[in-house]
Order: sequence, then C-alpha cells, then structure tokens
Amino acid sequence: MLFTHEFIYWPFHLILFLIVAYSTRGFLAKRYKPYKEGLSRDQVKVSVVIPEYKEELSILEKAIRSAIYNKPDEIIIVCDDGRKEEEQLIKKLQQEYPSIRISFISHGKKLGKRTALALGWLVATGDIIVQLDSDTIMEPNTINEIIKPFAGPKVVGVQGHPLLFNTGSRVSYVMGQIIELARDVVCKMLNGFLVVIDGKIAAYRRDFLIKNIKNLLLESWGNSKIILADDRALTYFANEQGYKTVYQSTAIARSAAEPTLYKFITQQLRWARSGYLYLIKDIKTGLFFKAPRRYRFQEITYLLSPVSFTAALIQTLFLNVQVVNILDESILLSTGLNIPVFLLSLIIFLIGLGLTFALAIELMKLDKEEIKKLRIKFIDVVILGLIGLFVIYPMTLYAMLTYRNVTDWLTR
Amino acid sequence: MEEKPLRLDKELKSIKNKLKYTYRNKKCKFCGHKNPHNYIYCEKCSKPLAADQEIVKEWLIQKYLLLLLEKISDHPDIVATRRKSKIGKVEFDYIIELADNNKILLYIVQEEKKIADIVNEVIDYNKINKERIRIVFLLLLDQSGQNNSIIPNVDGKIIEDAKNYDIEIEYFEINSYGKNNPLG
Repeated sequence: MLFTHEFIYWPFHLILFLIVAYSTRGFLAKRYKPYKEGLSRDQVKVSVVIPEYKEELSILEKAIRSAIYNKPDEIIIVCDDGRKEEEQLIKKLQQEYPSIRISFISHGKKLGKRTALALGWLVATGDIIVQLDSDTIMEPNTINEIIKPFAGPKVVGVQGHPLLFNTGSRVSYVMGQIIELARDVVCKMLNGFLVVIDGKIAAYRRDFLIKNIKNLLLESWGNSKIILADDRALTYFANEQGYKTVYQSTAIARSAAEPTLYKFITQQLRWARSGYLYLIKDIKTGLFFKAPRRYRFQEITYLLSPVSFTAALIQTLFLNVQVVNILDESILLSTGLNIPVFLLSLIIFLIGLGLTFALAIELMKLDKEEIKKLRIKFIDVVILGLIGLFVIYPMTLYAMLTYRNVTDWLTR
Repeated sequence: MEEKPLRLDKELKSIKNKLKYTYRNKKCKFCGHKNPHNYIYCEKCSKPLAADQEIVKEWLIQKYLLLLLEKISDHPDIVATRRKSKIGKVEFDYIIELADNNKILLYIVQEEKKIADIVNEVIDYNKINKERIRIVFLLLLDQSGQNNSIIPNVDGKIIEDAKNYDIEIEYFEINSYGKNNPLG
C-alpha cells in the first residue's frame, strides 16, 4: 500500500501480460519461412532511393557504398538539407563508380520527407524501388534477397531485416537491437499483412508507389496534415488496397543505433505516436476488422501495453501486496535474519524484472546469434528492465495520449 | 608566433584556374561557335551549351515534378509515368498519366521550329484518343530572362486549335541563375 512500509512497484499484471503476448508471438512466428525462390535481378530494373536529411557524411557514404556493392541499376539520393558537402561526396562516388548511375537531387529548399520520397520515386526508372535510410548499410546480397518475394503478383511491399550497429550509448544500442529482433518475430508472425514496412530497408513496386503519391502527400488527420510515418502510411495503403506486404528475413541491413539514450527515447516516442495514430485509423476505416486475426492480436497487444502498465501501477498503489510480508516473516523465523521489508521488496523486484526480461527474450524466440553478439549480462537485463518499465512504458502511455503530435523529419 | 610563408605559386595557380573556368568562352559542341561564358544556349544554333545536356534536362524535369508535387491537390491521381515516350512522331521527355484520362507531356525545348509540329502531332493523336492533355514546354532562361533566341513561335491559331481538342499548352521557364542549378 502507498501508506505502508510495504510499498514498492509490483508489476505482476504487466509481467503476465508480456509473457502471454511474447510467447504467443513466438509461437505464431514459427511457421514463417523466408522466400528462397522468386524474382531475380535480371528480371527487373532496381532503383535505390535514399532520402537524406542532415545525415553524418561518413555514415551516408557507407550507406551509398553498400548500395553500390549491391549493383542496382541506379541510386538516387534525395537531399533535403541543401548541403554542398553531400554534392561533393556524390560527385566523388560518381567518378569512382562510373558504371553505376548515381543521381543527386537537391533543390535548395526543404521538401519534407514525404515529398522528398515522392520526388525520388518519380525520378526513378526502376520497376522495384528499394528504399534505404541514409544511416543504413546493406549487406552485399540484400537487394537480391529483397526482390525475391515480388514474384507474387499481389506483393507490393517487402520488409527487409533491419538490425543495428553501435554508435555510442550501449544502452540504446542493446535496447534498440532487442526491439529490432522483436520486430523480426512480429514480422514473421504477420507475414503477408504487416503492420509496418520499416523504411530503414524496404522495397516497393514503383507502380504502387506512383499511384499512392497523392494519398501520401495529402494524408490528413482531422484538419492537420500527417507529415510523419511515411512507412506506416504506405503499409496502410497497401493493406487497405488488398495487396500483400511481406517480410524477407534474409535481406539484412544494419542501421545506426541512436547515439544517446535521450535520442533513443524520442525515436521510440515518434514511433509509438505513429503506431497509435494508425491503429486508430485502422479501426476507424474498418481495416482492423478485415485484417487477419494475428494482425488484430498484434494491434490489441500494442494498444494494451500502456494500459497494462497503468493497470499494474494502480494495482500497486491500491492493492495490498502481502507476499513480501509473509516472505520476510518466514526468513526471520527460519534464519533469524531481519531484512527490512522495503529492501527485500526491492531485491525481489529487481531479480523478478531481470528474470522476466530474460524470459521474454527466450519466449519470443529472438535470433539467438544476434542476442549472443550483444553479450548481455544480468545487470544489463536489470537496467534495461528498469528503463523499459519506468521510461518506455510511461512514454508509450504519453504517446498514446499525444498521438496527434506528428511532426517533421524529427530524426535529427 | 611565426607566420607560415605564403605559397604564392600555388595560390596564383588556383586563381588562374578559377578565372579560366569562370571566364572561358563556351564553344558550341554542335556548330563550334564561341559564346559568352554566361550563355546557356548557343547564340548561333540555339543548342544547349552545358557540358552534359542530360544533367540539365534531368534538372528541368525534376523542377517541374517538384512543382507538380507541391500542387498535387490540384491534379487528379497519378496513374503512371513514362520517360522518352512517343506520341505520334514526337518523343516526349517525360509523360505523366493521370486519372480520368488526363495526361501531362513534358518536352524540353531545344529547337524553335519543332514547337508547332509537336502541337500538331498531339492534336492528331487526340482526335482519336480524346484525352485531356497538357503539353508543358520546359525552357531554361539565362540571366536576362531570355532563352537565347528560343522564343516559342506558336501562333494563336495553333493554340486555339489545340484548345478545341482538349489540349492545353504551358511554358515552364526557369532562370538558370537560381540556386542549386546544375550549371553552377
């Protein structure tokens, strides 16, 4: 209780919710198999479009070089910040690789991400457009892998497998990577009807993109124009128009992790806001009810996670948890040790949190090799659990309440 | 503190190169005529003087596409786009197909005489296809607002004729001295 010495946060409700949600996702994702056969490079023309805004030049160069190694028919970089340095960088790369068409679009005024992308699509000549974030590095066979599912005539959008590389803060890297690995499981579960084709690494049929330019640029919510979440919007259009949105887990690309915890949190806030906005849109337009059950399950758990957090908080504040008291008394009786109830509560809470987090990773069947690379120690699990519980969950609740605040690029 | 000696030879070489680049006369690749450095088109044969014509053409198309995107609410949905596509005998640089049988045809003007022929070709095409067409002639102007002798010579009769067949004619002119243009 709040007014007794036993008070400590006991998120049983949330833990139970997470365990049920994670294990169900892990189970449903089991059926997924990546596309081994399909469209090959000699059957289609591929353009890579890289929208860029105030990106660090060394990372941008790596991203463009990774695109070059994939040998697309053309690479289009749409710069929205009008920096001369980018032009020089691209000229250097054009001279270095004269056999690949590298185009640079910059019109000296800020277009906004959606307009910048649409301009890139109109200029592109490929049948398939691979969209790559300016801080994302493809593996040498990413394009070969990502175009395979387009053999299916109804497939208009393919999600590649984004992972992260460390750029500074270990906490934001580990947390971000776990989120990406969790998204891998969610995408496997939702294959065919994805919630979002993440713009870090995505591929679309150009025809589909061109036909949806007007939808994308004029999309609004109430009286305000939506300028954020282009990837969420495109996935929504594809699902709504009866097309297939699929996942190709073998098309791997590594994106720069947020360098600081603060930036990581603002990124999560941005994603959560767009997540809730489109969830409400899904329900309003009826797509939610037409969608497969697994899609609805994902949306409901997404909706309920901050609600569950609130319920857990209320439960802690208003329900008397006697467990610690009983345990404390039994320790005193059996060992003679007199541990303060508050300290015992705290120890149990931290161990419980760490175990829950570790169990969640296991239950979701996250990619074990990638998890191994992260070298997570128990103390990391406790820290991540604390951040997840006391920063990310309250933030998702805040995002839910402020989902209308969709702003410009906001990434930098 | 000791000052670093100026490498005058290096400095001078760099200035000389800059001057050479800025003030050199532009020799026309087609007729060999030497034009003043600030000319975009040859004053003798009217052909573009840019080192790489494709870059200039692409830049002009992008400028128009950007304008289209900025005013997208005024247009029907875009259905498809094509490059270097023919209508009759005329090859257009970029064609935008819009919903409800609308089309925008982009043509980069290089030769004066062709404009009337282009309009006539599209009229012939539309006699059969009955679409709503907008022909956009893209022109790059120099500092004085002229495009060096390429002044469209479409007379009123042709424009009226075109209107009768649901064809609109638009001139999209851009000053080559603006920011971010490929000619520098």
